[in-house]
Amino acid sequence: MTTPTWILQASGLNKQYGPGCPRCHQFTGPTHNNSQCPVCNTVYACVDAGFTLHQGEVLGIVGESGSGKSTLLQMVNLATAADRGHIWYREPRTPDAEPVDLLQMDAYRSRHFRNDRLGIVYQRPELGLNMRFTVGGNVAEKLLLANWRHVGNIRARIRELMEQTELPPERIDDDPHTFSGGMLQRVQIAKALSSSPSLLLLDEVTSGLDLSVQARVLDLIRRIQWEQQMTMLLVSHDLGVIKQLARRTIVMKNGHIVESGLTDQILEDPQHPYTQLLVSSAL
Amino acid sequence: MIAPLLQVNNLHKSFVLHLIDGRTIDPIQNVSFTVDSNQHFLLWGRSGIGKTSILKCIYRSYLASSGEIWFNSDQFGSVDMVQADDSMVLKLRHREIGYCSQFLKVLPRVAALDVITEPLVRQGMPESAAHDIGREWLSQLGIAQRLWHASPVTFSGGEQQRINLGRAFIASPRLLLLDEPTASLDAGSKQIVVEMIQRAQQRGTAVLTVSHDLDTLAKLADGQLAL
Amino acid sequence: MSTTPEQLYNFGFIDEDSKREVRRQILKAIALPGHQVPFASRDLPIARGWGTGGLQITMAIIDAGDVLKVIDQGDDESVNAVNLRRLLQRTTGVTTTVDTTAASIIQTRHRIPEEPMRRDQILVLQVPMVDPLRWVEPNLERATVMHGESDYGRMWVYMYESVVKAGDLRIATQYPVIVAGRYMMDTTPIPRWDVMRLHNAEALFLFGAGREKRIYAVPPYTTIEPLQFEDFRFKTEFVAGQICARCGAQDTFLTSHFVVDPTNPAGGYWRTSCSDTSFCDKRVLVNTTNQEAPQ
Ligand SMILES: Nc1ncnc2c1ncn2[C@@H]1O[C@H](COP(=O)(O)OP(=O)(O)OP(=O)(O)O)[C@@H](O)[C@H]1O
Ligand SMILES: [Mg+2]
Ligand SMILES: [Zn+2]
Ligand SMILES: [Zn+2]
Repeated sequence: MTTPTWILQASGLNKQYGPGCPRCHQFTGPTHNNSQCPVCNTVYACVDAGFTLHQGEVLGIVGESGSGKSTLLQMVNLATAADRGHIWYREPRTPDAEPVDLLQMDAYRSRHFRNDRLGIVYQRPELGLNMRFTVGGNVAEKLLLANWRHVGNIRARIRELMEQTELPPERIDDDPHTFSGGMLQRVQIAKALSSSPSLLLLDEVTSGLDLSVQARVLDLIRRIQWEQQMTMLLVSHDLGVIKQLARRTIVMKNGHIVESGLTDQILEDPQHPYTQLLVSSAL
Repeated sequence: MIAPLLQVNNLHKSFVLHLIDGRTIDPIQNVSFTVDSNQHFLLWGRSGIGKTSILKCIYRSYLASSGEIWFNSDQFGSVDMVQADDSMVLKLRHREIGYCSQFLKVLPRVAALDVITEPLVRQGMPESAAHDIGREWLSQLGIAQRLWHASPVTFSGGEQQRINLGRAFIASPRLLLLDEPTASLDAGSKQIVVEMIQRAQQRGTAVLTVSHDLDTLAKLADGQLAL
Repeated sequence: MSTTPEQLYNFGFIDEDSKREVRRQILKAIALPGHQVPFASRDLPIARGWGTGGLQITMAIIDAGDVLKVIDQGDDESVNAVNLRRLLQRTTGVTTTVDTTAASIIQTRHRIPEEPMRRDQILVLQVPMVDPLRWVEPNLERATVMHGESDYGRMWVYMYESVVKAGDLRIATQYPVIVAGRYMMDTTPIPRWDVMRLHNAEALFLFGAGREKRIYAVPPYTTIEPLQFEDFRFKTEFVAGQICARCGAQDTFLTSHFVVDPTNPAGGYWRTSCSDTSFCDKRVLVNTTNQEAPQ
């Protein structure tokens, strides 16, 4: 019997915006091609979602705009409170310890968990960075929250992270507004990695970048995954990105997971009508 | 009696094309065969009969509609590739089952040496050791040294196919699935493939080949099925 | 009718219910050191921003036996201090003093008196701006959540940036501190000189902001840790060699003003003197008696 290698096991995750009514189920979900109930206007952003994430694995989440990908990611990020469900987490550094349900933690522990064990990169740099602080200040934030209190050491670590993410370390004190889109994604990645997290969450990190810049950012992510055996949850509507990075993929539509499987199987033998449409539109 | 390495029972695969009025096509119906360890098994038949689909069902790039695909794993015992969960399939792909598609698919920014050694590094071999082995393979495959640090995307069809095969053989899986390995090759390159299959068998790899190139491969096969 | 104008008002100007409400919030503030407690700031015959927060605290806690001192910038005789003292004195009739050691309640802006305060004394500070997080989170609601979760990472980035930009921790007043290991508090409006004088002090410190309707407190013997780095420590404004031109003190917080030369309007010089005027006066008195003593 081998010890289980999962680090995250989510089940029954739900998020709705609105009160709900007895007729919601007649109108919402993938079969009705709708996330919002026309009677009570409740939006079902994520319904009974679950998945398992193994140590060192990249899990892709695809789906059309509004399908609930970001909501699912933000629930794992502990930034959006799930209405119900569980997110069991097993710390990879202490594999013998009992798994904990992240959703049962109090606000204080949950914030520290988020800072120390999770890293997130958003599509829009303004969401992940504070544009009023310097580049270095942004990368320093997680370190400062983790009680780093030596400016010299902090700056040495920032420079190291900038080198790792192929940013010029001499620009540590520059204003983020002077950075290009691709560079800002690197700053976000450097910040996300600063606490040596056990899980990296990526939300459409290359959408909106030029193709060549996109390729380089993806190369960087692949290198980090490879070198650090980083576990990642990767949200994208671009099947090419998913194919490059994720071994397993979840397909979402109208708040529901309609299909999940090995990425090559999803792409080569999609089962759900929506996945077939998605794949045929991409090729 | 030793259980066979691979046992396919009554395999059936149909595709439901939801985008074309839910039309169904059934390329594979009631296919059964077994492959023993060290065997070179040849599946042949006319184009479009579902040869590749069988390989993909075994590798689980396709989901079989019904039937059983028993793989006798070193680590996990008998595993039905039809029912196994995704992470079990990933583990088997990682160590025990290799697949070589008809065409090489790689990122345009990765050097040939890295492409061919990737399975070794993925299994945990240090990069420098993997590169040593990789260089040996590249020269045996007749890839000119000046190409080793270039991306195979720009290589000729034959060179690409040799890289493709090298990458599949290098990790010495217990079962190797080969899809038309000789299709785009000249006589000399075909000979290289034949030798690779023979050497793989000597190292204990069973090879399941799908092909219509009977001239080259039939004499190598110690088991076959015509579809 | 023959009532004196003073009797038109309740003792301490505001009505008893309002006072009780303020006292309730003070108790809460003492129970949660450094935590900003909202209170229903009342209208007073003084414009908000002129010390109405501190004034309401004093009005709520003062009783007839108290001895009151009011200072502004450390000065008992500034216009604002005189006005507030007059209002409190007329509406309560309590004794007033300029002597720190004689006072039971000291209402102040900007300074903690130089003479160490005792456990039987209360210092009431008038606070203009309350929340240290306003530098990094202008939205009050979000800042409140950040306090609730002691989410002070961004404030630390602000400190880091201050080091990077100025080469040192150059924050003049409003220096942020952590109170009792929990809440981050702005030390508005006292100078850095006074920040560590809050640490493990014997007296009770009450902070009131009229405009922002907040009360917070540093109870006796509470730890105060200024935000600082191992390689960039918190520093006071102390400049070696500067002395008070009146009493010769080198161990007090000094202010400087420009003295114009009456014979030459373009000329003049900077003169430094104690910011705590009553303490300075005491020292001047001691100095002169000492000088006179040998005769
Ligand atoms: N805060 C919110 N309030 C109301 N509805 C919301 C909220 N957040 C998300 N939704 C709704 O939930 C659904 C899922 O949104 P989500 O952002 O998760 O989609 P997504 O799959 O990430 O989309 P995209 O590809 O455009 O980023 C959408 O219908 C969206 O409008
Ligand atoms: Mg999204
Ligand atoms: Zn409804
Ligand atoms: Zn003096």
